[in-house]
Amino acid sequence: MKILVIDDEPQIRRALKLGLEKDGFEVTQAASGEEALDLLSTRAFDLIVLDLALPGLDGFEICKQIRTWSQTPILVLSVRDREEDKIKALDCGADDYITKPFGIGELSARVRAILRRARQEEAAHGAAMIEEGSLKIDQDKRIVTVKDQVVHLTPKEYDLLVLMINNRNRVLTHRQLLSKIWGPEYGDDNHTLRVHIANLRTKIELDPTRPEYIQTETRVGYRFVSRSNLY
Amino acid sequence: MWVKIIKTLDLIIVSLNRLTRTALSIATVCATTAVIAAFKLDTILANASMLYLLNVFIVGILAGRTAAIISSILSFGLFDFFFTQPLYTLQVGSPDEWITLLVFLFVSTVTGQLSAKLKESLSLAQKKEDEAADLARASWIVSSQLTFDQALESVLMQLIKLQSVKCAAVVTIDHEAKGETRETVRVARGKDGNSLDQIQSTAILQKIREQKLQEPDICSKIGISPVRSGAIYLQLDDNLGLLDSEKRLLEALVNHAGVVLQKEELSLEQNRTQALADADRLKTALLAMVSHDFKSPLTGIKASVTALLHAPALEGKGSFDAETRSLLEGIEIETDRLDRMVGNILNLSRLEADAWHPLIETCSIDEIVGSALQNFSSEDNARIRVGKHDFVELECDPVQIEQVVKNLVENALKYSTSEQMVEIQLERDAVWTRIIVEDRGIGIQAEQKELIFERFFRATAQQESAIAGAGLGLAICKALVLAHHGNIWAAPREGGGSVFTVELPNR
Repeated sequence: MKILVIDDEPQIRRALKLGLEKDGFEVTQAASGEEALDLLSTRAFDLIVLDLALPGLDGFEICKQIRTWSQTPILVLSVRDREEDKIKALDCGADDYITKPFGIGELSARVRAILRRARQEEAAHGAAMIEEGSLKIDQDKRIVTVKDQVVHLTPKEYDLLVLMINNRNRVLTHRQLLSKIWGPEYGDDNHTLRVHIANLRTKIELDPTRPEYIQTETRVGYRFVSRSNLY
Repeated sequence: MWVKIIKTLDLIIVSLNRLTRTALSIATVCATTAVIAAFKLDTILANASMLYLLNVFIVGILAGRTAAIISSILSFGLFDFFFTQPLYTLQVGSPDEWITLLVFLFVSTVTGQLSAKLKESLSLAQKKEDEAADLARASWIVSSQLTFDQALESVLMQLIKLQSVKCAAVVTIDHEAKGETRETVRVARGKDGNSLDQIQSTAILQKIREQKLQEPDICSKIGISPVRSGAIYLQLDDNLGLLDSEKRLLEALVNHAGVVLQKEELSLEQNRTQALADADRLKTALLAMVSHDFKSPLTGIKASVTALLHAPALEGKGSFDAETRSLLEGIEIETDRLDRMVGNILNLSRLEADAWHPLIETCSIDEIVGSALQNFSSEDNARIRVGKHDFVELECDPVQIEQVVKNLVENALKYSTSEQMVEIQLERDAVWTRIIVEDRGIGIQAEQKELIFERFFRATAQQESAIAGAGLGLAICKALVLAHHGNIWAAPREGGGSVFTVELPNR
């Protein structure tokens, strides 16, 4: 698996290279957007790690340019408290973000989540049986059990859960969730989404006040966190 | 052509006074009598009466009601005297002729009055038309000016053209604190069209300030904004008042000046807003730069140390002995701590620079509390209990309120032992939503419950303790809650510990 790291800080690039190579990835570095676009025009990568705050051509612009000709997954590095930047990056075609400063373990998990999803898209859909800790989903029968107890989900709740599990460890924006489950015309109806997520949490989470599976990405969306199933 | 002749006559007659006009109408009646006598037109009596009627009609049009009445009575007399039997006496021979004469008198009077009325309404219409044209011209002149000053000057130039105006000025009045006002002369012109000098301007200001206007001077007030008003001051000639039409022109010009001043105020306001927005952008950009400068090395350290520690599944425990490993883990923990502190300082400076405005949206209180609790370890979470509540939605900035909850819980955990529980209660009444964080920790002293929200303040009991923190968490909470128009306070808890209450308006 080939990863391109685009960051202007040499220390961060070095650390990412060392960390990701331990996980068996092949890492190429670029110090600027221009250099990255040059590399991308001649070589193929499986994933791009992109710092949003770059001098010169900024992260959003690079994202947009790459998306004009390639669907290579992009993970952006962003600063905390800048939710609008995160949303903007996702709108520009990024697949996920990670907040600085981050640990390599966390980054590696994000990278694998994105790659897993990319592979899954190629191989049609996932397995009929999904298992996440005490949560089990039989996709053929549309049955969900928690600790072997069947829980009754409405069709929308079920679709929402399956969509999030199929994108596990990856953020899905409010808009993405609403338009995939309810249709594009519901893109701004955050209230509906909140209510369904709250119901889903009371049904599948052991402690809905401290959700283990469905985590809130404030102002951006939700992320289904999988602790067992990283690949 | 007839219109022209009548207009010319009209102009001549208007210039005469009432007595001359009456004399003139008497003269025309006499002339008509002479014409009838000379040409023997009275052979058919009706002809003579028709000529008299025509005469009265013309007099009515040209010289007005009184002249018309006088000429109709005179016509009646002369007609009786010269042309009805017996001639040259005012006596009337037969009752038939009495009727003829009386009908003549009635018809001639009515004709005279009608024609006079026609004339009056015509000239009134003309006057209205002229006045409207004047007003339109006045407003065109004002509105075609490029700058506000030029527009105000053009108002004054039109005002001083009025015959009785000696000088005119536009004044702005700023209402300042404690009911004080500050008056400024914007433009002032004398009769000759030149600007007034300092002394004259000061005299005008004095009069307006003391509200001592000498008759017949005029000062028309103009409302501009709650803190600013304007006035147009006119010094008038003692002997000449303003005509009604001039008063209307004055009123229109005062309105124009009002519009000009309001527009000017709006554009000033816009400039001020623009300047504030520019300053805001600059501050945000500066803080983003500082933030980036701090975050980059922190990210570098954290990424490097975690890369060293990172043990891929295949290699088992990694390649360090226990001592090196614990030192590296120490670096990671301290980096996280430094990051939190830098984050606090940056957040506080953003708040102080007024560059972190709440973005209010409808959000879920459960999600806010849930996200805040994600920041704590599972051991810490085991100590935190969230109370039952019967509401979910809340109007606030979720990022900021999450920060508030996180800081309060962090504090509560920090100042209590690992066996003591921290409780979060959520309440709502008609006006407020309350987030209450209770602990069984060391508590707060009554005299310090305000001070703890100050920057860099740490309760005396903790100053020498090993509990980490620079005393920024609560200051940030306070600033964030205030930005939401809410309240935050601390109180000792019954049975030991403290209670922190955040109150947010329901909107």
